[in-house]
Amino acid sequence: MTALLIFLALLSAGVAKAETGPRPAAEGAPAVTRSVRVTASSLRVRTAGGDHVCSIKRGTVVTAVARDGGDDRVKVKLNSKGCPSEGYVYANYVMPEGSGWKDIVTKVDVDQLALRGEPSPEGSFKCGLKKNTEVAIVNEAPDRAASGSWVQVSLTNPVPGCPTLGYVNSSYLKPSEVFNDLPIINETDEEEVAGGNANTEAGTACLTGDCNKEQTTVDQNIKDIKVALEAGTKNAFVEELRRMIKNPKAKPKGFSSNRGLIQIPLQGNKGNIGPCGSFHYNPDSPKGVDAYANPTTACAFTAFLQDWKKSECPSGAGCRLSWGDISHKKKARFNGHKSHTDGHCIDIRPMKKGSFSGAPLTYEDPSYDRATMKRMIAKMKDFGADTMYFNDKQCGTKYASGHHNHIHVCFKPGPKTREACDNLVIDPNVCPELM
Amino acid sequence: MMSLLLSSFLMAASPCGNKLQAFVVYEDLEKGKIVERHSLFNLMEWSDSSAFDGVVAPASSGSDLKLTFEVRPSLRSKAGNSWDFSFVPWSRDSKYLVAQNFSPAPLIGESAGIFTITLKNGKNIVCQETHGISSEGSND
Repeated sequence: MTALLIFLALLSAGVAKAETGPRPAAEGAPAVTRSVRVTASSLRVRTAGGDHVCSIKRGTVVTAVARDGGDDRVKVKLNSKGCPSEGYVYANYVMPEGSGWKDIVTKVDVDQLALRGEPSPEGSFKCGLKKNTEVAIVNEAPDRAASGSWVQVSLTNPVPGCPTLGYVNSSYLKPSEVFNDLPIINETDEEEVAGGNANTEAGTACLTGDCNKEQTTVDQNIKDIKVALEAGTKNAFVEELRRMIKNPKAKPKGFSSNRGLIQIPLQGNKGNIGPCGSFHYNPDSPKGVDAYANPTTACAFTAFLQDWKKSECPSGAGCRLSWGDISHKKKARFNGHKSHTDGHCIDIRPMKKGSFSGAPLTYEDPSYDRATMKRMIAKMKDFGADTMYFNDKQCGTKYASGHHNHIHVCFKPGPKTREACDNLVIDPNVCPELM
Repeated sequence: MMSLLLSSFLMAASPCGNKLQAFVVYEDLEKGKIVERHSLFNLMEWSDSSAFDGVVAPASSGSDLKLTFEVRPSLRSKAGNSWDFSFVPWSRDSKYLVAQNFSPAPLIGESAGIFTITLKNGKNIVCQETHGISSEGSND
């Protein structure tokens, strides 16, 4: 009898344990699915391996049937022209139909997410929300939203320096809570998606048809990160730059533009705070009027700013990129410049040793950092910069009167700047304000 | 004005160094919040890349400080404009006095040439500097 009781106790414990784990549908019960709507302007559909197979537009309704336990993707069934019947999308870019996102409590999914006063990347910056800050979505479709990704949130706990209410880009909120009831995909059980053959040799499905190709863990991680970042670069600024490059007559949505130039996004009342940790010195008034760039220039310059911040100056010390005039919103000539007319050229301060300062610097100053300056010049060339005027002879740049306290550098449209733009993948940890 | 310039030249007034410094006020991000900061630096030529918002002197400089700011088309030019300013305690940093209501940008405008800045304590010239106003150079 005792043995029977023990047996029954063990049996019930085993059942209880099974119920707390991942929940595949019980045999005979209908599979859990969720009807969801695309919020990104254009969302890439991919294979399980991450290959892009098609794109679907904002508002498209698809059926989420499973979630990828490894990352934040969901498997969807779809019925869109040019797309297979099934694919994978990033859960950040879809929202449940019907109930939508309203009243959903979720968390910030990036290191810092801007809370803004208006539902747009140009909205007034209120504060930065750190990763895992909990927010409740109070309005999933606010008026005048720059795109379907913007939602109004309320902070569930007070955050010093932050208002209770504000707007964020929902792409950077954790989606997993919403799809928790979907079954988790087990990679070894995965059947073919968009073609390919099952290959059980490595215990993983071979989905691309090339069953001899082995992907290492490292390669897969890099690919997944790239895919995640690529999906994240459906960010307004870079999207609009690429649209303007394709169609010079296009007016960017959510960003100021004039005479074919686009304003580099700036924060603060004066406009000192540039993207990707950069500093905009001596800003003209009104804010941003001196920061208009040709779209290709803006794209290549942004790519350079991100790379500089990430690889050369993560500390934001004296190596922090300080830039001044680009071109004027309306005037071809301004601030005494003879050039700076067409949005191609940018003035940048010399590099400084030690901590960052908002003060000017010349190459003759004891705190001038020649070595870092040379590295910056080399890196700018990698991103397509040319026509450099700076009076430190040891930097290999051209001499021009008045160029001892800044370098004048141009990122003109050409193969290298276009390549830099094509390769630009915004890292939300480096340039959160561009998301 | 001419006598002032001549007397300054004859007296070989000393550079200002820490006796009179330029400052810029700017905004920056600190832990996600926008904060206002300032930086001090030695006087230098005026250009878009080296503009300043005002000047300060150490609070111990004296009680009768005066600033004269003069703009001329060139060193040899006699014609120009000159303005005088008094000093008051600086709200941003109590270690300094700031030239009250002095903002060089509107005084310089779009002109090229030179500016001369003179700090006086009573009738004595403490220091004086003359710098160019750059229009970004002919090759820009």
